[in-house]
Amino acid sequence: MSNTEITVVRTGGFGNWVRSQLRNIAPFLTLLFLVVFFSVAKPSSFLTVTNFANILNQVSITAIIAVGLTFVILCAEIDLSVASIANVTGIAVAFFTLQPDYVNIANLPLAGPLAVLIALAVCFALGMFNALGVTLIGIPSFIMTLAMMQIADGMSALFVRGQIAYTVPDIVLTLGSGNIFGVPWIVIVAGLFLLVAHLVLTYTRFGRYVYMVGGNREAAEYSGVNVKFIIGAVLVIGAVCSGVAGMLGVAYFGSAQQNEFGTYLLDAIAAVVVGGTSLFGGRGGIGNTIIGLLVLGVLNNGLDHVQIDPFFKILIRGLILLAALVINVYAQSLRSKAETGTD
Amino acid sequence: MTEKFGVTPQSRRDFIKTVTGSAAAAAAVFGGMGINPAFAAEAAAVSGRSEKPLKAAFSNAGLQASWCAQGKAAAEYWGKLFNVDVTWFDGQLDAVKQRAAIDNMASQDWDFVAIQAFGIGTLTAPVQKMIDKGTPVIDLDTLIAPLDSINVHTFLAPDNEFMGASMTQALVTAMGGKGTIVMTQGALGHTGAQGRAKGFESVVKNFPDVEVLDTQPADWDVSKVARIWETLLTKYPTINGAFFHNDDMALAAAEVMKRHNRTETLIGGVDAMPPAIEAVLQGRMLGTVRNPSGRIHGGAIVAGVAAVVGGEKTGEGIPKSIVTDGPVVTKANGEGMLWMQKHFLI
Repeated sequence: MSNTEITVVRTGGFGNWVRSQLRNIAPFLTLLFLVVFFSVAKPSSFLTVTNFANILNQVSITAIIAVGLTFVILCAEIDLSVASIANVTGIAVAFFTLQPDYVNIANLPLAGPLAVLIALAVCFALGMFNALGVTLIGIPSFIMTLAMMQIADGMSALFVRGQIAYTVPDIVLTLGSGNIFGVPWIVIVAGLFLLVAHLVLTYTRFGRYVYMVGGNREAAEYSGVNVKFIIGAVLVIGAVCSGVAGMLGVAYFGSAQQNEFGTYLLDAIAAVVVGGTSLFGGRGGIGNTIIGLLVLGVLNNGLDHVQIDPFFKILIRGLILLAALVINVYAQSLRSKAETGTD
Repeated sequence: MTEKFGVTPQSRRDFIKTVTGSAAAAAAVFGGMGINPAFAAEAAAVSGRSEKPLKAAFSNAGLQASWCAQGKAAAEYWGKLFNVDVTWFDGQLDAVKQRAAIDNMASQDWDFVAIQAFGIGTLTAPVQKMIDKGTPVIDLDTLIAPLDSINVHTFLAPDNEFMGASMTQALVTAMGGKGTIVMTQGALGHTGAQGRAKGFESVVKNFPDVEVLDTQPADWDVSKVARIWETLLTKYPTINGAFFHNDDMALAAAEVMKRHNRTETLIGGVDAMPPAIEAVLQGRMLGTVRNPSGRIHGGAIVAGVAAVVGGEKTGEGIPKSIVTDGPVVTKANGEGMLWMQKHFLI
């Protein structure tokens, strides 16, 4: 990808370079516009260090889920089960933890590390099912993960049976809601996930294969890449990232209950796509996902700082996201033109 | 209205002159809104209405729900009366979205806040942050956190068990103490639904001739209600009574029954929102028990003002928990209930 970009600069000059990079530049400009707008509209409360920390806190769980989803989308696949797997993993870790007397769940308390391991095994197993369904049976990922969404939701319901659990192991509690030197652990964990994912995608053979499979599956196969393995692996990565996010989410929110994390599905997909990663695979990366996360975080946070009709907020949020996506698609076509040298 | 209360314009002016400056300002606002100024002045004097506008933040489960939207209107109405600027943080019927909104609320300064949690235990950290800052936090309708784990200013909520029991009692009485009955529940994790179910069970167990056919949850979802009731009507030739955990579900099921030409079922709901009261007045529903959105949200304004201006503290002037029940609404009291709701009195 980078070779193509260099060629474009040499042959087409700055204009073509801008066009080829518009997919990356546009989300960044959207973010800049939102920051400037809310800073001017409500400088006293929006433009503060506390609020910046607040935004980072708010996007952390979405970030961990979005990391896994970035791998999946880069492979031109989709995972609709991420939020449900996050939910069932969070519920599982609480189910295997001793709960207060007033919690009316027939659970199975175990030692904290064991509860965490079992919860991780749950999300890994669900990711494996997704992987096997898509690669061995040949079910499209959209359908397979849709079914998995239902399965995970059903498991959540069976675990808690309409009740609410509150306690999680200490390690999960610390990472989900604790601080170190004033910095929330959850922000650090999200940062680490983003960093490791970036390194894997940029500097490892596996990362290159992910881009190859997403960019041109046939070519990747002819080049000797084990496409099925790559697709299976990204689905497992997606599920495990979701599971970790779910466990920390339960600690962050203070309770584990059914249908708690549903909103993370669209938020995570939106973060990846708004950031500039192509839904058709092969283009984008963790850098784009970070920008997408910040666009969503600033937008959601900023709208709560300005005095507008709450009924209007949802519409505004939708319109801004639509604008970002239109720019994304437009940028894609400009890039194609720039690459082919047509105007 | 003035004549109705027997207060002449002259005596009204005299009365206003005798009260404090803040109450006079209140009277101006109240008068401008078409409310009897004598009442306004008295209310303001009692509550200690603030001279300067107070800043309050409110959040309820989600404005998509008509009960919550009515609550917002009530809070804003009572806020104007008591000189409170209300800023709304919509929960959007989503625990994650509400948590983000409450995080944002907690990063700003307020004179008082009022919150109805969508998910119990999901808002504890930011709410605790506001309490630590000294902001009175008024808990509405649903517990923010379990038991006494969080020190809210007060908790304004109906007794869900009472609501479930009183509506079920009305249904069973109308059924003559015998027959078949169905309870369609809200989301099982919702404490309101749990209380209403408990109330239902406490009544039906006293009637051995009443057979409970089904108690499936429909999760407050009208499309799920339609699916469940399509099946129930096919499965059971006679269903004498049906208790729904809210009116939206009751009205959705009533439509399904109408399509199936099944008119034998007496329907009871919860919330007593205007469309359900209309259905009661038209005879499509037997009754619905009022969950007083106006009283809860308006009460939060009064409690907040009393805390900030009057210095009320938990246990010293205001109890830790206040039960805000409403009556069973039938044809007999439906019109009055509509009027009271129109003026955010219940």
